[in-house]
Amino acid sequence: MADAQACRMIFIVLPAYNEEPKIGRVIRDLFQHGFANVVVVNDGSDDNTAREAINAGAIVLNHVINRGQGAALQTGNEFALQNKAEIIVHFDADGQFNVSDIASGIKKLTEENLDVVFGSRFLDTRSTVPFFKKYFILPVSRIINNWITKLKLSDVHNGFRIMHRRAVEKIYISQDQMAHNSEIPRLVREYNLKYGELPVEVTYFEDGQGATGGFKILWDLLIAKINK
Amino acid sequence: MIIIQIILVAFFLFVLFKVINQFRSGELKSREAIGWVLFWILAGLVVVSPNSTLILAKVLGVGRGVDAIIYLAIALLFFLLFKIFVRLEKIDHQITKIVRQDTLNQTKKYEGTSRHS
Repeated sequence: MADAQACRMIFIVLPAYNEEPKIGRVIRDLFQHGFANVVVVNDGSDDNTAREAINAGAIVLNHVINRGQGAALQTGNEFALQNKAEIIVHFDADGQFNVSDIASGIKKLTEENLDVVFGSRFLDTRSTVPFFKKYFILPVSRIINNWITKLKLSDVHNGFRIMHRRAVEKIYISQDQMAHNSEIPRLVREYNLKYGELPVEVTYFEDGQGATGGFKILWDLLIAKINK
Repeated sequence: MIIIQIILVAFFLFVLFKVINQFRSGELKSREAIGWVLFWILAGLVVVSPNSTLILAKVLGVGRGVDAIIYLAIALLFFLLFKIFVRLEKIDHQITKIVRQDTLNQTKKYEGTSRHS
């Protein structure tokens, strides 16, 4: 990403809740790859996430209280739109994604004239997904999600995505918690947006969502359906 | 009157008193207040004269009056729980909107300078 002018139009949104130990490195890595606009949505963290992010040079938006990852992403989206972003990247603050995947994703988005590019762990062999997750949690959630969203994706609930402005203007994330990962594909289908999948590398840490997290997501989706 | 009836009727009167107070202070809309007053009066009648529920039991095709009341009570509880649930969800979304608005208002408009590129 040598073209600074082009980078100015790209906004990287990092939702962050208590990511003090890792966020600084992720931000610096993004800057080193030439991305000028790194937006951290500090989602009511109890630790020094905000200070770390500011020290690393990111733009920091503070949620006074914790509202969830979906809520943080929507705040980041609105900020990016207000600041004339052309391309918005959702990235993780804990360093589980590989920064070099962003450039290839943006290339795919622009060259194929797509509205959204979803990251997928399963399109190449770089990610070593834990056994139980790979052979139990993810296949089950893939079936459920493809059924709910009616969008065939090889990897559901991957937080890496790249969206063009025209998509972000349409997609409003109303799922404040983790169910936004199902809501976004559903809206992509509903608005007939052009999408593609990109192989991305995911490095696993001990935390993350287990099966209980999956049930919470299902519950949130059900409630949203009733409330509609 | 047996003791349980006295206790229940006293309790219902206390709740009625609360409902009226809430209506006076504007916490309850008139429609809601009327609904609750009727509900607690009916509950009182059922307690004072348990046999009156037999009519209801017959209409519903349930054996005993007490059973009919329990079924209805459970249904009502579920309904109220559901209403509270929906309301909470709505409040949750409203809180998020306020937090987001506050966040965006406090953030100075970022000009997108190329200081890092």
